[in-house]
Amino acid sequence: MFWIDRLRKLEITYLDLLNKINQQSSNNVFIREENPYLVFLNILKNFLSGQRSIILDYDFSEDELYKLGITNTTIKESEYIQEDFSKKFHSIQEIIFYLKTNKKKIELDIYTSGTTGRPKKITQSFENLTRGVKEQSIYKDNIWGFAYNPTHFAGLQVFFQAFFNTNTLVYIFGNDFKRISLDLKVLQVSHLSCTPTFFKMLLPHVEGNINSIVSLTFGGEKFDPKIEKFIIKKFPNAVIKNVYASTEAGSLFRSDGEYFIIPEKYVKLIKIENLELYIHKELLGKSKSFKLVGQWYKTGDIVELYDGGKFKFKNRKSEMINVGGYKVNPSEVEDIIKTIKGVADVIVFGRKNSLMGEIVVAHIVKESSQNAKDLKEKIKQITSLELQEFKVPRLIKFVDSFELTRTGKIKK
Amino acid sequence: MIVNKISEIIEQILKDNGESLSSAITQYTTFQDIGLTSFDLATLTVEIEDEFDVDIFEDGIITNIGEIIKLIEEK
Repeated sequence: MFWIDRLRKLEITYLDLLNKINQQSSNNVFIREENPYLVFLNILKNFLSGQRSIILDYDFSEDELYKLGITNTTIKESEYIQEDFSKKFHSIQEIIFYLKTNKKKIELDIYTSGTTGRPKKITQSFENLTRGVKEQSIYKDNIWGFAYNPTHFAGLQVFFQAFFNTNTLVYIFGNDFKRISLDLKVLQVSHLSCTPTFFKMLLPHVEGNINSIVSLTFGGEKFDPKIEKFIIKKFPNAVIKNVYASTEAGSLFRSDGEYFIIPEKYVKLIKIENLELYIHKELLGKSKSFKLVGQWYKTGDIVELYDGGKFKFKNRKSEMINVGGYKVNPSEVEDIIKTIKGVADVIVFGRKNSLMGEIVVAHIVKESSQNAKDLKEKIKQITSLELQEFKVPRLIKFVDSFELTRTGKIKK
Repeated sequence: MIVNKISEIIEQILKDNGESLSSAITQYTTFQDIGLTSFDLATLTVEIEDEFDVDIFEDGIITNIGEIIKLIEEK
């Protein structure tokens, strides 16, 4: 079995997938699909056709797409006809072999917030995308709980790890957590990779324990050690790992528990300077948005050093807001709110909370003639329409003036 | 009463989503009963913190209103 999605009532075998891939079809290099199975199917079809894939979050508004320079015309003009591959690929293993043989030639564009918050294009080679993939015969029976957005780097990583080992993927992102808990048990999921926030939402719905899970991998946010005791109780056979990965650089290293160490193969390509993590440009994808210091990319991730070269991630240097693993650039949200009639001024920042890390908060100075209640509703409505869900301010407060900047200093 | 204030906060969170409470909240009501998303729960966390100076998820996972009330009363 390749793909199970209970919400969409899908069960797709690897043979089904092979037949679909081989089928002649009208494809598009732009991939913007609500159904995650179709995201991956189209990525594979594009790669095998020698085309790049340009992945768009399904919930990008028309306005956000327009700002990226993508219109309906752009998308329409990127259609092409894929030939019948049935004489070329007779098995999934042949497809995997083809992809590995051509990994330097295949590229994928991700338009996502990544580390910067404002959607930017980052081009990753297939080689970078699959850098962290491990293939071994001991992995052949793994069953993956897929708990990431399929258009984000972490989701692509999990997909290729599973696909290269012809494992089963059980899509659970966006499902009801009670249902997810049941599916993990009934389908005997062995590997779950997700953000700590997703996991904290899932935990209360796990009745008894889930013995099938042998691997829990967290990424996207700082690991919360307080949940470890709940993991031991409910997932008694699970080994916990944390992954450090970014859209810019891909998957770089894993930890055991909270502590990371720079792998031997990367000691010349990753460094810590003034407690900030730097990545050499050789490890990065391609983007016009990267600002380098010589040959190095400053990640903005601040660490705490420990003996033996170990370190933990502490916080972010920049003003980016991390909402459950999704990065929000406050300026992007402010720009939208400033356009709303009745708003005199706005400051957007992150408010810490133990569940998601941060949520987006907006302090508004309103025009004196405006009714606060009406304006608040309008701000909620417009930001919900114009922005992806995780960027929408959850708390809106009206103030007479601003006293602090978002980093706690007096606003200049 | 604490439960009334919590109810008020939750009602506002749901109203912001264009939703409403389908039944009265009691100490036995779970977050799932109310249909709160992760974003809603995070908002609830900070609103409760502002009102009662208690971080309800600080020490781990909670699942229902009764656990919130207990944490507030223990403070």
